[in-house]
Amino acid sequence: MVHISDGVLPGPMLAAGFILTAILLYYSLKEIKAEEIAKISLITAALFVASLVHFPIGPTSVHLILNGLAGILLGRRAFAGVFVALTLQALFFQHGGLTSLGVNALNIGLPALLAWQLFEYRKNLASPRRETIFGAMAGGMAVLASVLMVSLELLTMGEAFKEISVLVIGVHLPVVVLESVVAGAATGFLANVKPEMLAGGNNGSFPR
Amino acid sequence: MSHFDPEKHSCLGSAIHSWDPRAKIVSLLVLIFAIALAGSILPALAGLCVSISLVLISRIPLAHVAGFMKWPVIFLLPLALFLPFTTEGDCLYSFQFLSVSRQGLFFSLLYLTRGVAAALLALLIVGTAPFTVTIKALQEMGLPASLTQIFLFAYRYVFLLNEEFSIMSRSLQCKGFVRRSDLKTARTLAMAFAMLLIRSYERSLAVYNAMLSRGYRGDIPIPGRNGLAASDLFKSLLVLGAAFSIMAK
Repeated sequence: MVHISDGVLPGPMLAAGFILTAILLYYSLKEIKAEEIAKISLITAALFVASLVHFPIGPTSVHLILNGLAGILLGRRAFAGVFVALTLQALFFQHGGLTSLGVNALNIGLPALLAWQLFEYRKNLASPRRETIFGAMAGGMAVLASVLMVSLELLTMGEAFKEISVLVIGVHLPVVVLESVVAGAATGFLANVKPEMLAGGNNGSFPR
Repeated sequence: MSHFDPEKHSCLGSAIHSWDPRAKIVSLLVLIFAIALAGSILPALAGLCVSISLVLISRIPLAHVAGFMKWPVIFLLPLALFLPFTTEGDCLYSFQFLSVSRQGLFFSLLYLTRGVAAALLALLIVGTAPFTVTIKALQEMGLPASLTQIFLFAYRYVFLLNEEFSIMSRSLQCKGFVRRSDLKTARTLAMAFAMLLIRSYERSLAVYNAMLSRGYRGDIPIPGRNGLAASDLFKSLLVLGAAFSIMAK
């Protein structure tokens, strides 16, 4: 449900989504170096694969969005990664649609950039577990922000969408918690094993 | 996804397959937008008919189409099932506190028709040519080269990394790991994801070095393409004609 399908949103909102996505794509890809392309692509592909994994929650199961982790790993380039992943999803798995691609990229990609910014604040905390703590905060916040954006967009469609907007938030609250745990644990692990992979890490492989 | 092959039917010899990719992408995208923004049921249904006819012309097996269409229907169903009850309007049928409104039913049908028609056309864009051909056509039409390359690499490695992750899952299972709704499952899978990320990061360094040794300087050359043939223009004219008549209604 975090993906909005074709045929639901009105024209002006779709257009606004594409315009803002184009601006953020430009910002995200500015001054890209040749050696970054393979890294962005492979990390995007790995996050894509991980987001297809199903977690059991009681009788049902959910899959993660991992946009927070994308921000933590790719920094500014995360928006381009999210855009590519969502386009592949829309084309090959029909999650979301081509007309709503701009809006969907904004819904998932903007929180990824926010997660990156939030994760940068870890440097102010003098704790050996700061990556885990800030990774968990960034991961949970990113999904929460995505869900709120989707819900707000549905709300602007009119009174009839009120119940659905509330439902979207409700069903995603467990995902926010789960995503926070997963992002925190994964970031903590990466900080110990391969710290240069984190955005703004030791060798600054992805520019700030 | 392990048995998933999106390019399985990309080399059939239909009229859609032989259409120049640039003309095909532009015409079908215009048609998708025309249908997705249709304001009433009739043009949306007409759009659905056009989409179904194009899928039939493409000769992509219907079983493949059905498997592909499962997701858009799953995504649209919650909306389609809710709206008849939550939209205010003329009551068609009521049962205790629930009532179905005519306007709600109208919106529900409209969203479903537009969504399914648009998804069928998206299937035509990717299903009738290898992905490399489609993405290179997009680059010729102005998609930035860096984005084109991220598309090509990410597409290539999604399948490989998916294979790799399924091997990691199997080895976890061999060690007695069972997915449950608990913190331990979340942590274990988080470590597995992190490991997959490390492997893909290290692989990307090796891939980059291999590319450098083959003379990579930041762009991938695209082969020149001829101008559009008369048949390409004719097909585009037909599809654009359909799109504009849907918009005009």
